[in-house]
Amino acid sequence: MKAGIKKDNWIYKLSEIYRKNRFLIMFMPALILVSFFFFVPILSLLRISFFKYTGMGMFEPGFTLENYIKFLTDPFYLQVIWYTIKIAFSVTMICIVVGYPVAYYISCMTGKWKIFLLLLIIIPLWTNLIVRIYGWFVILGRQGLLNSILIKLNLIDEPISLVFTTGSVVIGLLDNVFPWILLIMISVLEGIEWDIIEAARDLGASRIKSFYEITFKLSLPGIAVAGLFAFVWSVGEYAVPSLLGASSNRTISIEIADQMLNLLNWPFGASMAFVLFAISVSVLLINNWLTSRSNIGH
Amino acid sequence: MKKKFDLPTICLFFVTMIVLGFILTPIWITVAVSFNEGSYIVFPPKGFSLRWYLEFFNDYSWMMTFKNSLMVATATMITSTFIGVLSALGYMRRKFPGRNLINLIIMLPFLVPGIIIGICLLIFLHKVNLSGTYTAVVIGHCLWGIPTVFLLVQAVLSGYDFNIEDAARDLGAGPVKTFFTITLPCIRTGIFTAMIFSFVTSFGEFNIALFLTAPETMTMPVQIWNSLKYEVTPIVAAVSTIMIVFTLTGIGIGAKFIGIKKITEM
Repeated sequence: MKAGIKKDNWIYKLSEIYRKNRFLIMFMPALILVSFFFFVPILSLLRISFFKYTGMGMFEPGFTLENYIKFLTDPFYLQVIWYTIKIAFSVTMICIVVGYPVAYYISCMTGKWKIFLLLLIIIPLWTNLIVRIYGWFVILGRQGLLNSILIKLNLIDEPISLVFTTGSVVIGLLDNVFPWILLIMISVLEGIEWDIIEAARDLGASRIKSFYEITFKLSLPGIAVAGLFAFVWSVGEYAVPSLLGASSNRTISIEIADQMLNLLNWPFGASMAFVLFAISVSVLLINNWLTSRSNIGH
Repeated sequence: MKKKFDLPTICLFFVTMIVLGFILTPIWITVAVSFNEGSYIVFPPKGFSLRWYLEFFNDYSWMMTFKNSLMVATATMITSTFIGVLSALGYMRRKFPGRNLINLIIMLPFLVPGIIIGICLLIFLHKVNLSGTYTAVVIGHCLWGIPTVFLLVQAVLSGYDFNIEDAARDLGAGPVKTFFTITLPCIRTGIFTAMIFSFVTSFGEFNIALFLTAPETMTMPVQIWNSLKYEVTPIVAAVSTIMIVFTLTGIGIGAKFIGIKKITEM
């Protein structure tokens, strides 16, 4: 039998293919878990978003677009969408504009000082968000750090309310995304070779010109990636606006949670969640395309 | 770059300090007020006492959520370390068609907002009567734990030479023996660090847990959220400090075993 197997035998070929690709089995547990508990649930979310709500937390199967139409045309929800995008956009812009110099500074560092600065970034990164939000309550509260400093400096007489404003939501969201964005930008800037900059300097380019022409221009795709991440994470964040925002500052995620947990209108909540999912995925796909174009590894 | 102390460098230094101050202040301030004596939050804290820690350890509901969080985080850690390490080993082995797609599939749950995972699992697990159970929360957290481990072990494996595995196989070792005598000893510290970080991720996760827990299975971040929402007590500062200590311990262990640089590369 054994001697009879020739190299062009299809069984032999199949076994060769199997032997070469056997390691793909290693992905099976992850792929099964993610498919079964992420992609299938996303599909059931999509399905339920077309159901008709019949009141009292009940809904009947069917196919209606009214949930989507309500979300995307009702002035109240349009205002919610606009508010959410406005906040997320401000957070992204502040993050990039303020974070870029910081990332540049750290990426130029070497040795122990750099490791120390990186440590200072990953401590907040891994500290959970709820705890940091509590910290902001302590800082911004009526008897908090900021008010007591302002009173000591005689800038104000009475404590002013700093929490439950759009400002406090932006601060909380910034705190959430800043460490991630800094790390992404540092890795982008570290990827730029110093040799090119040195060459430009040797050829007579000024420090500012060589920075702008080389470092800045080469880092643009990576900065765009960082910005897109900042936007996605801010647009869908729930804990920050629900705790630090006023009850009138409603974001998409607050509306979703409200419909799902309090009003029990699952079809409507699902349709909003699906829109949020679609936004996030399209942004991430743009991101993926940018990353593959510029070969940024992080 | 040569060390220069000119104006641009000084400006960069100050911006860096301001940003780092901004992201670190909420953390140290929480630790500071947790030792406050009074029954409401003031800064600067008045007096020094462990009163709120004692109240935490004597409070039945906080202790229950603490226990729940520990259980959920342990289960998440075991599951996602196993699955994540396996995927990372396959991923870093060689380039193959579809590699980017696999990366995207594993990473996607980590990249979309947590509230979406919470909601779609809420709807889905409700159908199979799993909503509100520990299993539900662990599944939700694994969707974040696996990418965490996947990324971290990738960073660790970036300096690993897979040829030594082939060498072992050529010399007659089976796949199991190769794994335990070659692969595992090489990446042991990386796996340990990944375990710690998946634990920390799950221990502090809120958005997913909010939707998937019932009152009996509630985790600590959800209870912190509840108490911030309805009545802010200084116990929260003590609880938060305990969570910060968990995180710092994790980072310390990670730094010791694989170094800060590798952690940031993920």
